[in-house]
Amino acid sequence: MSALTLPATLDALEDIGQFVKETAVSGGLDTGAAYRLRLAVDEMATNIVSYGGVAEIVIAATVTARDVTVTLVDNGVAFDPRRQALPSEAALAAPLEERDIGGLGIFLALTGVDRYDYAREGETNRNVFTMRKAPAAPPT
Amino acid sequence: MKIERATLLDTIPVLRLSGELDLSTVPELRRAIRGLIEETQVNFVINLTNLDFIDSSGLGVLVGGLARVREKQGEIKLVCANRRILRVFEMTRLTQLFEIYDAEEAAARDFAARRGEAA
Repeated sequence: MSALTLPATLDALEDIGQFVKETAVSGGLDTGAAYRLRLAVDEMATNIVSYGGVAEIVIAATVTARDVTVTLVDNGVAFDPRRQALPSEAALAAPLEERDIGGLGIFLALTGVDRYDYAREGETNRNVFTMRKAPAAPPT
Repeated sequence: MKIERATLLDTIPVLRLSGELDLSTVPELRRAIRGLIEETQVNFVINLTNLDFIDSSGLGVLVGGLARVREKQGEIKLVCANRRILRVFEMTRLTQLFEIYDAEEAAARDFAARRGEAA
């Protein structure tokens, strides 16, 4: 497992993006899956540094034969994104004058990955993003 | 992120974005859009094809810009031949809000045709 501890500032987003990109490449994700993983982690990290009121954020990655998992840990107030109301299909399809752009970040974080898990452990939030690897082509 | 400004068909401004459009770079795009509107340019193209990354803050600036130009009967047409960026628009159904083209020429031709109809 690899991990990085960063100050919870906007500048950290670049390092977090780079960490996820390198993890996705070394973990063997295809480019589409790698992009969606990075997007999901970026959205959650943006939320944490913008609203979490924390000093540090920890990012860790685990690669197995089947999947790539990235975890964000912070010690801010408890925030379970799964309890947030995501934009409905009707809201997403609304015309411009009725459309509320809010909530898209959490929506992309939760729906862009193959699996998302949240846990409150003691004083920390753990956001876990998992992407499954594409099955290898059978030998010819 | 870099923003290059050019002109299509002698009259239609285009902003060509490259690099990463996220929370740290959205102020640059917001300024560029605001600058065009202040010049009374409310019909323009934004080319996203060379973007490596866009997040919800980038989408928010584009939607905000679209709302502002439509208040003035204008339009922002997007160009995006980049599958990964386009996928983010599909996930958020913004493909229903924006006119998205594969190439700048097609977007500019549509603007020109609309002007022709209005004349």
